[in-house]
Amino acid sequence: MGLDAPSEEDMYKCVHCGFCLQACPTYLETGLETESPRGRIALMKAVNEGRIGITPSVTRHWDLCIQCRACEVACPSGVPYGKLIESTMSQVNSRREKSWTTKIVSNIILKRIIPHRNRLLLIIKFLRLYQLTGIQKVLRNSGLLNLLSPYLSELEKSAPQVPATILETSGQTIRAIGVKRSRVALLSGCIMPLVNGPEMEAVIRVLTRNGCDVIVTQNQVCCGAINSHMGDLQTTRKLAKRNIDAFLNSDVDAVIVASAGCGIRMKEYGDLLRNDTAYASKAQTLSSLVKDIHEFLAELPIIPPKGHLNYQVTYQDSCHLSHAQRITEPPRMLLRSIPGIKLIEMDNPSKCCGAGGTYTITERDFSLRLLDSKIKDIDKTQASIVATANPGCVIQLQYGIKINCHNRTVKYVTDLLDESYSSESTV
Amino acid sequence: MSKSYTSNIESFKQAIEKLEYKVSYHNLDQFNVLGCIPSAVITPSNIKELSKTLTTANEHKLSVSPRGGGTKLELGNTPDSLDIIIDMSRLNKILNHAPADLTATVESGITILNLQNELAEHGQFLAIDPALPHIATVGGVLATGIAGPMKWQHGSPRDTVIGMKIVSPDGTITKSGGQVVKNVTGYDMSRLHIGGLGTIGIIAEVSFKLTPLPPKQLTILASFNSNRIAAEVALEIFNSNLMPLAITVFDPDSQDRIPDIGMNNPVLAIKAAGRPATIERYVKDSTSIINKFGSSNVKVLDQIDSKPLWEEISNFGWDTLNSEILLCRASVLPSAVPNLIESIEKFEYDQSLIGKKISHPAYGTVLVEWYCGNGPLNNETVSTILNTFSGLIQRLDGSLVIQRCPRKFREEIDVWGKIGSSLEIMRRLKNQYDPNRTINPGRFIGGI
Amino acid sequence: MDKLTSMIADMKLVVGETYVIHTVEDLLVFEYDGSADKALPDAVVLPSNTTEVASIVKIALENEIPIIARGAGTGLSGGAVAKGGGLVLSLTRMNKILEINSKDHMAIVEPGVVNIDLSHSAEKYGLYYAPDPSSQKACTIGGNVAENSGGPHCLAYGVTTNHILGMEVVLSDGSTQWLGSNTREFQGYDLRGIMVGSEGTLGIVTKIAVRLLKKPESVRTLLAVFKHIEQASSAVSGIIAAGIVPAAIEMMDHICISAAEAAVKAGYPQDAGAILLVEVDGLTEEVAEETEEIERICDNYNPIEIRKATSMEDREKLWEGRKGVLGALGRLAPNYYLVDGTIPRTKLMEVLSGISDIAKKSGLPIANLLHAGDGNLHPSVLYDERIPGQTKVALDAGAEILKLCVDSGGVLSGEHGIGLEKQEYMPLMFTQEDMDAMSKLKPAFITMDMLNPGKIFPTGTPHVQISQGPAVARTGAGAYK
Repeated sequence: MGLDAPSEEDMYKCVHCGFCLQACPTYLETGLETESPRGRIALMKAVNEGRIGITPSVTRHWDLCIQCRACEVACPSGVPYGKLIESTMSQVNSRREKSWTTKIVSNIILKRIIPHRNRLLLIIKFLRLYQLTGIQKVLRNSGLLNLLSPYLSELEKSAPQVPATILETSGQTIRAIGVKRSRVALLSGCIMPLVNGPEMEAVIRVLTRNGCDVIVTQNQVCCGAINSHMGDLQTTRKLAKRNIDAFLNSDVDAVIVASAGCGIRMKEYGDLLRNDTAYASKAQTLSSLVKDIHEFLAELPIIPPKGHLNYQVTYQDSCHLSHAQRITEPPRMLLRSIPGIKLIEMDNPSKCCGAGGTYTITERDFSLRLLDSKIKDIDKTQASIVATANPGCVIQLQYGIKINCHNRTVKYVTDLLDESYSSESTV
Repeated sequence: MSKSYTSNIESFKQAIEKLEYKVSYHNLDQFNVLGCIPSAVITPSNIKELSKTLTTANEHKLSVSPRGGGTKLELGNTPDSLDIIIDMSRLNKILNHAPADLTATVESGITILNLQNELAEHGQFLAIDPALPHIATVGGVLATGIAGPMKWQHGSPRDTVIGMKIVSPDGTITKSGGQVVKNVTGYDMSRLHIGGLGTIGIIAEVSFKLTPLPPKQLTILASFNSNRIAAEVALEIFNSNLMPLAITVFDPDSQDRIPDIGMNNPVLAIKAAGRPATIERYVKDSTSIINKFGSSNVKVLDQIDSKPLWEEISNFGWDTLNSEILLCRASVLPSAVPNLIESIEKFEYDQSLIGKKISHPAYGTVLVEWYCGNGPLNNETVSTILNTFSGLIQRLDGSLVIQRCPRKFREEIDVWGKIGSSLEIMRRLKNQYDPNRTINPGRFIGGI
Repeated sequence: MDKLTSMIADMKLVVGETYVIHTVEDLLVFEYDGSADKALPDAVVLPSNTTEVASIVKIALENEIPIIARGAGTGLSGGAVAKGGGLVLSLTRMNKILEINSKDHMAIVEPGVVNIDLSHSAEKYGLYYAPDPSSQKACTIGGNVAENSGGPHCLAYGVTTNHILGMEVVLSDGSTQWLGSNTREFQGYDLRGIMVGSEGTLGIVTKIAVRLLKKPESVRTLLAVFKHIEQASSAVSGIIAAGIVPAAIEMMDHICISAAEAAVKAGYPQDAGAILLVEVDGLTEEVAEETEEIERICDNYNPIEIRKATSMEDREKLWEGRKGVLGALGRLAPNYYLVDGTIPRTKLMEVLSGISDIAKKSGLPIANLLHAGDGNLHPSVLYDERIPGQTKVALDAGAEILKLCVDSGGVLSGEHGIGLEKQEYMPLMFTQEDMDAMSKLKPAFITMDMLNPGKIFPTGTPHVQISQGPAVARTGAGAYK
């Protein structure tokens, strides 16, 4: 456990200048220092100094952190806040009595289901059945869910629609179109290939259209982002090692990640396994190979699509792309490269939408407050499409748009690129 | 006059004479303050003498009034009492001028002109342009807080002061601020004395932040059919990208002292400064704004030709010994100036009055000097003017100070107008710093 | 029920349960501001409007508990630290921009409005709020008023006090007053001018009327790199002597340069001894004429390189190294003691060489970052509090620098305020009479010394608070283990 204690050195890099305050969504929402990055670090220090214990009122403030890492961007002293809160949560979770939702999430979903593709597949198939057969409609109309628990009913509504297409991960290679420019492996992810099968296939088409051989590496597993978000670093390490074994065998120029949350998790494998003698250097190697899809396409550089799309688009920065990976310009550049697309910036595009991994389940109220202010910002743009780069954000934004009855769609940037490429051939 | 009072003044005189300070008992009526004649005029030659004079006066429970150039003695209420005039004219040295630092420290009795001349030799100036600069002193200008038209870009006199040495009513010498342009060490005490009419201490030394003299300066003049339109054009300039040194509106017809500029209708004067291409831009942009408002009568004067004009604008209301004029200074929001001017004109028409007006619309200041076409103002007219005018200003959320007023009306009004409950803080301030009411008793707001 | 408990109950009736903070765990995050000083308050309250502030002040008065007003807590002199306990009154919830009057170039804001948010909101009218402290993305206008904050661009446009028209204040008897006005002139003593920079000791500001400026038509930034710091400071003197007052002149020495280089890779030459950043704004013609002249002046002093930028992105790139430098110093040492003295510009070389002597004597490196245009120095003594005794050495070096500044005709603080950090140094500048005269303000504002007591003026005990070191104070290193 000592391994995962927040690093004292990192903690004391914070000189409490307060520059992070205005970057923090929970501080902005409450106006309370207790719900700010600086406040949370002060509490970490106080625990470290033995001034207070890890009491429920202390952990409450850490729990409310959405881990969007916007504070890292604002910090002049380079405090690795993400790392600090992650390891703090790991300490907290190992010693507290969990609420039933947290228990279900961390013990069953995160430990028993997500790491196992078969179990996950079964659940997803059930969900699809539920949504397609009309049971969903019946159940919703009956009000039974609401009766059972308004919370469950809320949550059920925000579950994504499950499509028929499921991305296979059997080590298949999809060949480049035209001149071959690169050979890449694709992280299929845990939930992505199941609930975002068509979108993952779009990613593959965009990559091959840009001259990449794409290998959907066999034996890869969940990246572990959600586990570490919940403070379960042990499971995260197990998953990381399996991924290292899987990807380092595939001899590629880059490992492409289309989900921002997974991208940063994998880019930080090196740090995660820094004390593991067997895996430390391999982890570094994999981390340096990992590229976010937008980052990769922008650097390649992209072959500009020619298919005209007459859309007004606004772009929501995913926290894990803009703050954690500091990638803000590439996705915008890609959007602007599509003929006909008008990119309209919303106010505060890099402010968190409230998704935050499991945050939307564990801190439902707060998650919805953040979503509400995000939807208002989106509304002001009048854009018909909200583009973003992370599945959590897509689901959250879709839900926000649905409950506000807006006539908008949420799409991945890569979906729009794919749409433009595909309409080229018909011209 | 009570016996004790007489003995106080006598023993004060003896004490001062013993110290061999410069003291005079002649022509005392020339040193009157709003009709109150002092019993002695002391002219200290340094800050120590100033301090000792105050200590002695304070001990003898006498009232003191500091005097700079004596150009603005009409400002304020009639003093409750006056025994000693402290003539500051011998504290007139430049203590330090560091051209490369753009700062200077001076004794407060130096005239504005002498200071500006000295600074100009090093290509610098103090960004204030008050009335009668050859007589007015630094201390006097700061104590009254009244400077000229050049305040929009550079702010008011209070924005140029970086430090002060004050002699308290009991003779204590204290300083605040410093000789650097950026300083937050301790309370900004000089703020209390600028515009405080010397009521809580005498300004003895001042440190200023200076401004480089612009390489080139000129004045753009344009005439309009009405003062209102001229003021609107001034606001258009205020809202444009231009930042002139001064924007002033006046009516040459009613201004006997303003030099002939060959324009009769209401005039807008814009003072621009900078390097050649910058100046050209000012002329170009101003002209196009002026044309847009229907005037093609534009004239450009170089610095030398425009000097007398700006001097007279600064002097407005103060270059007269006539104590029977009524001079009002209104401060409102800039956007309220055109309407205010129009309302004043309507009022003048209704009352068959003539009012000379000068306004600095970008700063929200309107100055009016009222007089009757045929002789001095009568009681009734004065009270009508004051009632109407103060009502007008009040509705605009502005403030009104009666800068000059015929003596016989002074007893009935507070020339500083009314302020809210913050007057209580001001009274306590006076009580803190001058519990014996030694300096200028009764002259300031609310009889402070 | 003890006094505190009943007071907390009373305050909850005023502002609601959520906004009274009193558990030890929660109070801990209000024990600091941006400075090194720390002290635990007895309670924290977050009112949402003037009426609530007035009620809270009355409750505090009844219970004879001092009030420490607090903005974002980014101050660098301990102004918001509840020395000796007391009630921290946080104004962060009062963060509404009440009015932007574009015609008259002014705005009325609540004190909790974040500095840069005002400029952002004014932008659509072509206006902005000029004072720009480095913390402007986080600090509040109320805090700026309390400290009379400056910033790089104060050279041409003045500090906070030059931009405040009036304010609403709650005095410590709970009465509410407007000081100053919305208009440029007003009658009576300049009470609003006295409030600005009074560090929360005279009243609690609840509304502020500020002046806004027009956004300049053109801005140009010029970065000049010199081999020696002497050349850079001569260039500064040259610019001022030429009658140019740019919007900003910033300087960094070689320690800052190497730190900044490591952090943001601004691409500064390896052998750079000093860097000048000069920004000029105004009319296009004016900017062109002045930059040309500044470039010519810099050229006289053998610069290694001069870079210019006009576009927003390019300018930001030039500023990047400057803005990131304080944080970047953390790469050179775990702690730094940032001094804030201002000196006459002409004494720059003299003082810098004095600082270098102090560095040698103390054995600690001192990085120099300065608002060179107005003589406001920010020497940062780099040290490691984990090394026994080093904190004291750093502290002593800082004191020597302050003394040097005052001896050179300068002052203790240019923009950070006195607060707790520098109160014991006040006698370097002021006599007892000077300070007595300042203290007389308090009864006039009927503070009864219940507002931010024990600040600004010396207490006679040496300032040791900076030695609070996590490494020193730590008692339970195993807490997480």
